[in-house]
Amino acid sequence: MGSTSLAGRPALKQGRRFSWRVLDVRQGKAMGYFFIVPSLIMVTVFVIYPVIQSFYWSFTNWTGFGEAKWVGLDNYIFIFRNHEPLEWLWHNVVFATLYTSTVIVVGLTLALILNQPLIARNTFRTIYFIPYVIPGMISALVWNFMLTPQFDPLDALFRAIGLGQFWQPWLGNAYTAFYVAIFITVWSNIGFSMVLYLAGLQNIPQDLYDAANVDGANRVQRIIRITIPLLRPITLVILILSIIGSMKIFEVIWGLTHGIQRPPMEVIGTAIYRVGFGFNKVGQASALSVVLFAIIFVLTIIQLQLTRSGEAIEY
Amino acid sequence: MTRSDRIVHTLSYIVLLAFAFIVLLPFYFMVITSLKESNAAFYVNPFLPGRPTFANYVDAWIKGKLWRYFSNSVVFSSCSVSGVLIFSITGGYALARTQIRGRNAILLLFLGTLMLPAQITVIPLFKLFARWHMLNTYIGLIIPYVAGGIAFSSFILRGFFLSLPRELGDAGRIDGCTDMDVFFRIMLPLSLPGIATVALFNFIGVWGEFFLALIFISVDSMKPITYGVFSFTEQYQTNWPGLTAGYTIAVVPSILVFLLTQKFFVQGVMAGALKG
Repeated sequence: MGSTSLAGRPALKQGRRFSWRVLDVRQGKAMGYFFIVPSLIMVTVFVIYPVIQSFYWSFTNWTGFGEAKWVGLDNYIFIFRNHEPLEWLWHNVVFATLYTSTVIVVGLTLALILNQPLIARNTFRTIYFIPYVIPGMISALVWNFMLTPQFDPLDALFRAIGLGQFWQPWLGNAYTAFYVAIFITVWSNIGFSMVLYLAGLQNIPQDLYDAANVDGANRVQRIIRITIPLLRPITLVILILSIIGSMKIFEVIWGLTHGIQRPPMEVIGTAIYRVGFGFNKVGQASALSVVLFAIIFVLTIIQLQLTRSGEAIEY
Repeated sequence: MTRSDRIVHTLSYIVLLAFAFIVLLPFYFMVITSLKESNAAFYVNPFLPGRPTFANYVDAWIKGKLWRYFSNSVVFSSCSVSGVLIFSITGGYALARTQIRGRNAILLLFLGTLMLPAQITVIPLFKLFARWHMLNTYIGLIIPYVAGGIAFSSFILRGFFLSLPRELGDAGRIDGCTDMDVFFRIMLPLSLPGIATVALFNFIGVWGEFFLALIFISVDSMKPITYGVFSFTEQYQTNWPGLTAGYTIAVVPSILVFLLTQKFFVQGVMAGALKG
């Protein structure tokens, strides 16, 4: 006897205080440890330990060679007292603001449209998702090609449809090139945003709309008063993921600038690479990466808090 | 249909087509240009291939050494995906269905690592691998990919395993299965959809990865295709037909894999995003 109950613990016959069945539980545990330990080792050695090292180095002025001298908070003070690092951070903030708002609006719009029974729905869905799966660097390189000064396919297109005068060498000017980077990132991610919103839309019960119709609500009111509020959790997720992603960007900038520094386009991600691998100032680069991590950490905590507090939504 | 419905429908199609146009435009030009004979052909008519030729593809593949970059990417992707699967299937199961102590702590740890930007782990890893002479090797890039993918993939697979009913395992145990049997013969086969999702997600991610490759690889012959194409762009700056041929070769695997497995892939994306 002594069959295993649903709790995974052997249920013992009345009165028994020991059963050979306990070995099953032990075996289950042994297998569990055997299964998890390799992953744990991999993550600890190649993820956790490097993070600790970065933290440590951020308090030194190591240059990758020779001695690492402890300098305390000097690196951090430098980051917050000098205009350059703050500019990089500012660029990330601008990026985050513009990118996040655009991707949410566009994703939501497309999802609302695609939520209707239209022909070729799935085809459109697939099309919008394709930029998401291609390598980010390739996206940047292809758009770079599209906007190349003499060769401009996009310029030709504009001229062909008569909008020639709106053309500018968008990549020539580093300020506008920055906005191009944002555009490219939006282009890559509308599929992602749209898919999440579609899933959310499908979870909204039709009765709410029916009830609203009975009360005389028109289409716009239905969207503003019912749909959007109920999509808040998804909007929150996309919001935070997009902001965090904006903090980490690297490839799109690198692809447009080809690794050449153009100050108006410099962001934290590219700066860390340049400082750490270009100038070999490992200490400072580490400090920058810790700051980046801190920002992401705070944003994640905020998201978790907001999600938890928003959970009391009842239909 | 009311009149306003008709208007909305028409507007909808217009918007959808407009966005589809914007989304597909770069791909169109990319492919069209790659089929042109030379840059001069562009000035004749930028929108049509003129006399299409595959010469650029051949050039990119052979002279541009794309064959090398492509095969490197194949190695990196397949090995990384296999590695992540091995670790995360077992890890995910352990976190879902075994009674190990510290289960929740480990889960929390894994989820915590998802917050880490690549930049914070990359510098120490670089120094480490430099010391171990593992830069510019296959394993030297595969290990970071695998280590980086374990947390998320384990989390997804844990979800999958949790959705499989415990009774199946109990039934197996009654029939005399050991826990290993339960895992290999019952749970594992049933979790194939989850495994497929994780495999695809990791494949697309590794195939398109650039930053880590930039850091751990500096020798041209070891570069994966994203990095290879990047360098290749620096070299052949204005040979647009050749460059776009390269870009096309680089994106075709990603697009193909996506088109063939859409359902799984989209599922994975949603699962990942809605994890909170």
